[in-house]
Formats: sequence, structure tokens, C-alpha cells
Amino acid sequence: MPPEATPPLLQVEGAVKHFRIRPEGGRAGGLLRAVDGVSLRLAAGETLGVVGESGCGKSTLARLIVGLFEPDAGTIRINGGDLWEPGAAGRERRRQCQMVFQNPAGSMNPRRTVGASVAEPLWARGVRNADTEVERMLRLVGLHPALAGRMPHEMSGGQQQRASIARALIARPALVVHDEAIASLDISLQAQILNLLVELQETLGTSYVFISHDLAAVQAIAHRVIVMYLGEIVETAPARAFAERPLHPYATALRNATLMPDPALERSRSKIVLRGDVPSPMNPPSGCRFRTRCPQAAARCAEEAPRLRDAGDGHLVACHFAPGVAAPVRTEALAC
Amino acid sequence: MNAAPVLKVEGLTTRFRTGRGTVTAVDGVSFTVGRGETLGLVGESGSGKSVTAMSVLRLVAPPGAIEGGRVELNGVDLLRLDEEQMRERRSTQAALVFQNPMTALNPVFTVGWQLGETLRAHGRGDAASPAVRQALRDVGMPDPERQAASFPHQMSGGMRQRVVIAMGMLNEPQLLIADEPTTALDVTIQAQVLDLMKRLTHDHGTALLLITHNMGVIARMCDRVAVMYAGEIVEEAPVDELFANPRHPYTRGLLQSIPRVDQPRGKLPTLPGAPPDMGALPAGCRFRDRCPLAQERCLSHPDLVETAPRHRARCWLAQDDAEFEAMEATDAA
Repeated sequence: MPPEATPPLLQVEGAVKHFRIRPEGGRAGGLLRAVDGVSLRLAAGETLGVVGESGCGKSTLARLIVGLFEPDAGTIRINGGDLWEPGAAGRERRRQCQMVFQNPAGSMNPRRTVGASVAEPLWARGVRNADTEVERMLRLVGLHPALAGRMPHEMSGGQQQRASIARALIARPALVVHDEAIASLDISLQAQILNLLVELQETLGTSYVFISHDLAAVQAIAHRVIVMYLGEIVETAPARAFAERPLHPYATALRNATLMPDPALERSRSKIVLRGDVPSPMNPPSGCRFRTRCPQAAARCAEEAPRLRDAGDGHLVACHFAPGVAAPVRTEALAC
Repeated sequence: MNAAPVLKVEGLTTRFRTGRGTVTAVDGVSFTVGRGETLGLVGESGSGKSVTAMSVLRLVAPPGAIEGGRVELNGVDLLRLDEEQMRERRSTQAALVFQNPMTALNPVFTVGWQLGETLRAHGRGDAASPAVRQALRDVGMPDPERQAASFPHQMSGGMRQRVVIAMGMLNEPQLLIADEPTTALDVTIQAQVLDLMKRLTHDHGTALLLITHNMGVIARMCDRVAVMYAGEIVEEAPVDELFANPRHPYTRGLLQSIPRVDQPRGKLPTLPGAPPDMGALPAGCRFRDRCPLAQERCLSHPDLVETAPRHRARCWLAQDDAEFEAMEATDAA
């Protein structure tokens, strides 16, 4: 890898997180490969969208990036420095990464006022009087400052999620990870929050990792899209190129399975898009992990795991048969 | 639909009397579903769509109660039946598929036993009946013998939802009510389950009342759509007409605010605000506070009126085409 003038804001190299599952009842134990060698980069002020279905490892990846889990192998770097460097330097980097969770009610202390929850990151940094800043942040996320005195249960789901966003942003982190941050909201509120996140990014310059099972929502906000399957990245591309043409068979299937508010188009579509369920991440298939559901699978796919390769147009694809696949990937191609 | 509808709901009203006051969750709702037809009932949380479904099968529990209207299943008003007669009709004539298959299935019995119970309750067989295995085969279970002997926790979410659908279809009901049947599922599994429901209802001529908040599911599955807002139907139309030509500003705003996979990054048009508190509804049009087109006459409550053949909308502006277009043009500018 050639040396770079400025390291990217976020750089994940070969991150691995496995969980040891104890046998319980009739269930076998074993090693759950939640995240299995993931590399990615994110530039300052940009949004990386991560999409995948249950068990693909996207939430574990989120927790690795904000430092809630320590990786078993690989590194996570913020502005070139290791997130897990011992001492104050590592701690400060972990503070630079904040998170917004799926369930806003569950992520706020029910016995404290919303204002106190929002102020918490500043208090943790030794700021005594955070009132002015709390008021400013609440206004910024579109909440009336008077709501600071309310308890979380006295607010609607949309208001709670706005308050969670205010809390994540108040200490001016470099990076916020949104893990299914709009999934629990009604559709009319989802669009409001997506727009709010874009506006806040323009104002504050914060980088986002936006994790969701909803490909359409990811494409609405991300500059670059990553598709995960069973702990691995199967495709990554600039959002525009991805919207035009996903290349990996799984990415294509995900796209085809995402229903569109368009009856004529839905009627004209082919019927079954993918067969079967996602295999267990405790016992992933040999070779390509997608081969058991892949319509294009061949003998080679069972023997040899495809590596991420450059397919042009900013696409990196882990498939033996993806169109335009050339040389193995250079790490810098992962950037936004 | 010229033939008599399988389900005809008229003026259905369901209220919840709580310590904080009375909430009219379903307020004078009327619709029909014909044989082999799929009607989508779409709305956000609190719009009353699930309570409507529960009311149709008389499964509303206190403090909720059905306080008015008629629910005719094949011409018989279910609201006038006694509990025994109602029980007999549930599952043989009308069945319900819930959102969460884990709570709809009993964790301590095998799937086959639970399917058998559906037959047993009506004296039509038991777990050993060939109908049980056939039902599992119909919903695309690869190995019905083995699956029938499995417990719910041994299956994936998609497989469990298939079991629940199999259970709903087992007595070949004329009406199937599905309340967010695929919301808990991953999208690739959702596509499989929706296609399965479409095939089954088509093959059996089942009337399907499909409740969802997902406009993509509506587009894929439905013949007609009713949009609910704050306890009322605010618009109803054939599916193509509703998506191409929404007449209620709420429907229009909702459709515009949905991100699409064929669109690149960018700002979405949004509806401002949030649905009203059902305990303190505004007078007049309930959407008024969020409506970009609201005007003075919206202070009085609009009726659901026909704006085109088979197309009804609850909006003053929708009743006057020219005026609606003019307001829209102003709004766009």
C-alpha cells in the first residue's frame, strides 16, 4: 500500500469478531463468525451505508466501529490511530465515535429527563453547565428546547429518535454509527429523520456509518454502499454506481426483493428471487458463502472463496463470475 | 366486483375506554373484499388498521369494544352472532395471520400438533391427517414429515411464518386477514412468503385483507387499497389508480416520502409533523395540521366521497378536480 498524505477518518482492516456459543438445550455450541475479515474506509463528512439481512454481521460491525466490541483480529483506525491504543489516546478516539440505536426508547434512561440524557456526553467530558449546548442541539434536530424537561416516555417515537441523535452529536464526534436508526419509525417519520441526518451532516461535517436492512433507505443517504453476507463484504460501490447496477448475485437479489411503491413495475417482475434461508453463521458454507442460495453457483464456488476484486466503476465484488472483474483489489479502492 | 362480497364492513366503530378518556380507534370504517380479491389496508401506527382487523374477527379485548356498524361475512352479520357461532366461523370461514409467528405459535408443541389442532377444533382430523402434511407442502416446506415433528424454535423466522400461513389456510377459509405478515422477515424471505400468499389465495379464491405499512407490499399484492389515518379511511381506490393518481394529500405525501432502490442519494419530500394523538383529535379534517393544502373549510370534517369511479377520498379539495390541481401547482411553486 502506498503511503498517503492524510489517513482516512475511519479505516477498518481485516476486522474479525467471533463469538463462542455454548451448547444449550438441544442446540449445538460452536464459533459464530459474526464479522469475518472486513475492511473498509470512510472519508470525513461522508456516509457509508451498510446493508444486509439478519445474521450478516452488520450490527457487530457497528459495535466494532464504535468500540463496544474489541476485534479478535484486525484493526480499526480513526484518523490513522488505533481505536484500541492503550491509554488516553485510544479513549479519546473511541469518544470520537458515537452511536444511534434502533430503539430510541430503550436507549434513553427512562428515569432521567431528555435534557439530562442529551447532556451526558458533555458531562462525561467534564463540562459542568451544558444547558446552552443542549438547547442548541435540540433546536438543531428540530425539537423545542422545552422538551429537555420531559421524560422519554412523554415523547413520541420520532421525537425520541431526534433526541438520541442530539445526544450522539452533542460532543461533536467525528463519526456517528446509525444502527437501524429509522427501522422502528413510521414511514412518514423515516423520511423526516433521513433528511435531518443529511442536513446535520452538511452543518456539522460529521461522518456516518448508516446500517440498515432497508436498501432503499441506505441508498437515500449513503455516498458509498457496502453489502454484507454472513460476516463478509460481498460488494461495495459508490452509491450512484450501485443504484445503476449492483454486480454481486446477492446484491442483485437484495435489490430485486426490495419492493417498490409501483404496482405496474411489481407486476412485471420475475417471481421468486432467492430460494431458501441464510445459512447459520456458525457453520457457513465452504468457498463462497452465498453459493447455497446463488442461482449462478458452480463447482468452483464450493472450493474457492472469492476475494473482493475490482470490477471497474468503483465496484469491488467478491464473486468468481461477476462481470468485469479484474485484478485483486487495492486497499485504497475501498475509499468513498 | 359484481358478485356479493365475501366481507362487507359498514360503519365499523371500535372504542377503547381508558382512564385518560375514550379513544375511537376505528371510526365508522366501511369496505368490502370480494372473492379472490386482495384489499390492502395501509396506514401508520395508531391509524387503526390492526384494530380494524381484530374487530372483523371480534377479537378486540377490553377496554376495547366494538360499538357500532356491521361486519357481514357471506351476508351474515358477525356482530350479531353469539360467541359459539363466532368461534365456529373463525378459521373455517375467516382466519388471521399475525405479524410475529413466534407469538402465534405455542413453543411447547410441535408444528404438526398445532396444525392438527386447527382441524381437531372443527372435528375434521388431527396431526396425523394427510391434510397437515399437504398444508406444509403447499407453503413450500421441503420435508413436511420432518417439519411437522419440529418445534417452532427449531425453525427460521421465514419457516415459522409459513407454518402460520399454513395454519390460516388449513380449513380453506373464504377470508384470510393478514396483519403485517412479512414485517418481521428479511426482504429475500419476505418476497418468498408474499409470493406464497399470492399463489394460495389465488388458487383457493380466498378474499385477502392485507394489513401493512409497506407501500411496496401493497404494490406487489393488492387489487384495491384503503388508506387509514387517525381511525378513518381517508382514501380508497384500485391499486394502480391510487399510486398513479392519489387524491388525498396524506396518500400523496406518503407515496412521495418513500425512498426507492432505483433512485440515487438525495433529499426526500416529507410530510411535516406526526399523526395526531388519538385521545385529542383536532376538529374537522384530522390531517389538517400536517396538510400543505389546508384551508379554512378543512375546519369542518370532510366525508369520504367518490372522486372518480371506484375511487373515494376524504378531502374537500379532492371533490373539486380543478381546484385541487390549482392548489397543487401553487404548492409546487
